[in-house]
Amino acid sequence: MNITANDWMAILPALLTTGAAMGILCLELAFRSERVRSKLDWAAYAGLAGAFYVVLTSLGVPQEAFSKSIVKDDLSSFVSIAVLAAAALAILQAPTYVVQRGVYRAEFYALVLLAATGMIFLAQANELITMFLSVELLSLSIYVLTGITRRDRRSNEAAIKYFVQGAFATGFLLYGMALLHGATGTVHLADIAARLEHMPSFPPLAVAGVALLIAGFAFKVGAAPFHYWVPDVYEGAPTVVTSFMSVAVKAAGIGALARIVLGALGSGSEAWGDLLFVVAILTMVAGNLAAIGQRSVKRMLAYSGVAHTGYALVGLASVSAATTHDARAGASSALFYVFVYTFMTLGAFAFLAWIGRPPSASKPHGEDAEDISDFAGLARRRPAAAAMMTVFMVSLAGVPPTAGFLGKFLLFKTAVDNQQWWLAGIGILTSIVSLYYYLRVVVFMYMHESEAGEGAAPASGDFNIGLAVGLCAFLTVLFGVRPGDYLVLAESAIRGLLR
Amino acid sequence: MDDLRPWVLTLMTFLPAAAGLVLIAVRSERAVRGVSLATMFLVLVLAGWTWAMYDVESAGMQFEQKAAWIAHLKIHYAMGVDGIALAMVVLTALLAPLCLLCSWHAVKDRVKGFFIAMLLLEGGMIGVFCAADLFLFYVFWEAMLIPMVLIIGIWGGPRRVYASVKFFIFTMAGSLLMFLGVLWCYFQAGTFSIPELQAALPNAHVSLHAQVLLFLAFGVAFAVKVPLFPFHTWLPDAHVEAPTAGSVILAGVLLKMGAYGFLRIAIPFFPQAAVHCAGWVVALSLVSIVFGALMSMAQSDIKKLIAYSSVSHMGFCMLGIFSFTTLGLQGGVMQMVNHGVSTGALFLLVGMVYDRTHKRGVDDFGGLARVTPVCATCFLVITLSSIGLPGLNGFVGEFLVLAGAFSVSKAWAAVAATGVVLGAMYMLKLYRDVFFGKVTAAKNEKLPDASGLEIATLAPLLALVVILGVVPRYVLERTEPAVRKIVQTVQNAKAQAHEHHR
Repeated sequence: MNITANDWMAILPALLTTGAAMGILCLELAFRSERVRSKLDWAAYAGLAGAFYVVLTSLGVPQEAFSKSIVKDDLSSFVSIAVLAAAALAILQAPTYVVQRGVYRAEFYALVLLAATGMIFLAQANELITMFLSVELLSLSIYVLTGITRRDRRSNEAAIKYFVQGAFATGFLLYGMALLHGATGTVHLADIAARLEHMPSFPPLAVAGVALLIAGFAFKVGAAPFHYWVPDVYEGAPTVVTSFMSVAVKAAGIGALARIVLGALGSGSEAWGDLLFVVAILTMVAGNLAAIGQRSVKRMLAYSGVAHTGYALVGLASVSAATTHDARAGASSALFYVFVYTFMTLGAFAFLAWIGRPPSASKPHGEDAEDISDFAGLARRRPAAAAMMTVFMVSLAGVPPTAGFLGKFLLFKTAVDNQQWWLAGIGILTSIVSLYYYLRVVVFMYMHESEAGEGAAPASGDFNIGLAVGLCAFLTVLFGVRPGDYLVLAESAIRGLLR
Repeated sequence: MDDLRPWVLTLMTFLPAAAGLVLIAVRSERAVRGVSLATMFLVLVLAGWTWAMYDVESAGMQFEQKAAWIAHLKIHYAMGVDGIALAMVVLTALLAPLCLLCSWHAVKDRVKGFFIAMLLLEGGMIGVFCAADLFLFYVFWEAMLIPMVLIIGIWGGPRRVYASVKFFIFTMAGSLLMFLGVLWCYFQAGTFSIPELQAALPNAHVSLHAQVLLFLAFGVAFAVKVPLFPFHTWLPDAHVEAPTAGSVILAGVLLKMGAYGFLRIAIPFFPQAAVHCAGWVVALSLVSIVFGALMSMAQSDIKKLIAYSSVSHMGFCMLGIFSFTTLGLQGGVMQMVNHGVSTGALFLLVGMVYDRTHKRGVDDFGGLARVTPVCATCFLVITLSSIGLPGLNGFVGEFLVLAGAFSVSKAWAAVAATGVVLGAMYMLKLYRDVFFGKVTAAKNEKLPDASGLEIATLAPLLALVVILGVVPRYVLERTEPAVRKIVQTVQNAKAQAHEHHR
């Protein structure tokens, strides 16, 4: 195998993020002075910005590399944009926040960058082994990030739970890949597609493989019935970490799932169509119903994350029976949805990290706001923060003129275009349910008064996190009003998969 | 001036919103008040200009503007008004500044937030009436909900949270069903443009069954807003708990959006289904008329009484619309305007009394005519307008609706007429209990009469009550072409159905 410069160019974004991660670790070792160490985040931004630049300047030219095991196309670029943005916003929140909690900054930056690298590779993977390795790289980084506040028991517990269950799910994934390989004799997605097309019927072995594969991915993106880890892990992880993992993993996972089902398994859509259909409906129902009862806003957002995975899957499930490329291109709604979901959910979690209780004797660094009563009367104490959280809640509920509305609009449009009335109907009904728990946050912020001395205080405001929240709120409105080229890019990403 | 034509609707919609966003950065309360009022006044001037420049001969959209918005999805930013929309726009532009004036002293807490919410609300409401693209319509329809919910929930009465959440959930549940309908329309016709959909959908080959489902998807959303029995239960709560300005906007403009939705979307898009379901809608309208009136008679809270009377009056609108006669439809539209003016004024008056006494029960008052003669006179004029005294505006609307209904079915007219009688009973009883007799509470002996500001707030509405009663032509001549078009659409659908039957 000859490795040429072209091969390296195809993975340049991932190389840059890896380089930044390694560089940060080395710099941390080499320099002991706080002056240098406190500037390490700039190295991370440099790596991310470089990767971002490379992605944006090389759109539209599909390119295969490393003997076809890696592909750089619009799908990988689209997912990379979301992942890089999420990583940058996560690192933006971190400097003060993680140091206050006894975490080494450099470790945090490096792990976020490595997770991002895994996600970018996952979006680029064109064969099953690379895909598996990418999943492992991102998962291991996230396991560690979940438990990175070593002295916090909740964080430890979350990390162990996530790790054990995650390892189990990885088993599913690998088993599915093995069966698929057994059925077709190849691990390259393009070859799998070609061989399946020439088979008289979809082999049962492949059906089992697909089912296990989807189960593995369902775990990673937090879809029912493999979502039980989500609330515990999202709640236990440091909020800054949650804000990153809740969105970036989903973007990469949905991207990879789209590549497998539409790219490799397109000819056997009955094998995965019904499965995704059931998973999507279960996920929407389970996530939304469980979210109603939560008093902890962090846990509520975790369940809402489950629900939104279900919405994104509607986009993929809807097109399973479609026969034309135009109809299948509707799956781009799933991509666009995880893209806008990135900003609204990351912003909402960042808001929780931003608004906290003041330091006390037992908690010298303060505490994130979690319980809904912490938000009582917040609109009076911090009108701007409350307004931004309202934007996120409204967007998650799918009310215009926000990105969440446009995203749902596209998803349900895809379902209606393909006459998937059940998906559209259940999606709408569960959206009505979700209004209640999103609105409750707004009600507490604006319409309840805090008891004296209680509630989250403005004192712990951290400028960096505030900036992240502000950026997310701005983008959430911007993409709702002017989605611009991202809609087009999402569609060409899906069209690139269809053949 | 010709340059202004395509821009005037956009200006009216986005000036308030832009002012609201700018004011977020302004600290001075005086500046906030001044800028808000000036903006709303400017919008009112623009609305007046639009009214004057409107070509009464034409049935199509006027003052149109169209630009690509999300080109990828064929979504346009398209604005335009026909006569019905124009009447609603002017009503909105008139009521909004009056709401600011009535809140001038009444709102003391978080003043800046209140004024900003009012501005955003005004922009959203005008947007709903002007949108000529279904997607845009839906965006405005939903977006204006948020400021309305906040106005009820933050500046409302003791049970404001319950009322605002109930209002939000009811209307959003309806809207999301409409959302499915919007998507289906696009799926069927490949466009979001409302005029194009109006032309394409009635002739599309869609089974009656599917049409009825779609009509219901839109119809329920609109019926919640109207509100039609049995979707009305949010209304008494929202009206009672909302601050005065909120009640005026709710009664004056928001309820009209429901009826307007039927006129602009549900009926023209699915005329066959509308004809098919007309019997049910009329039945619900009649129930609303009588039930609303009976409920009003039983109320001891003045605001709740007026709230239920709204259910009754909006029932008249719906009856007129679903009679599918020119007379009835004209009456329905006229009644929409009248109800906005009269009920808006009633809520303003109740608000004034409440600001002075912090009481709203019918029993808390008596003999106010002697203490506050100006207030009492205004209230009397509005009461008479509300019960349909000839010469005032209410008569025109009710008469046309009843005439339209009568020409279709005498029984409908008979049932609806009892609503008129009951209306006179509860309104006159209210007036007697509050303003005549002895002053029951000692505190009420020294109530100050209406201030200059309050008279200025009421004066435009009182003038309209008389003007619309004497020369309803001003409204009717503008709405007639649009109304005739709807009647034509429905008649075509009836003919089609007839042919189909044979």
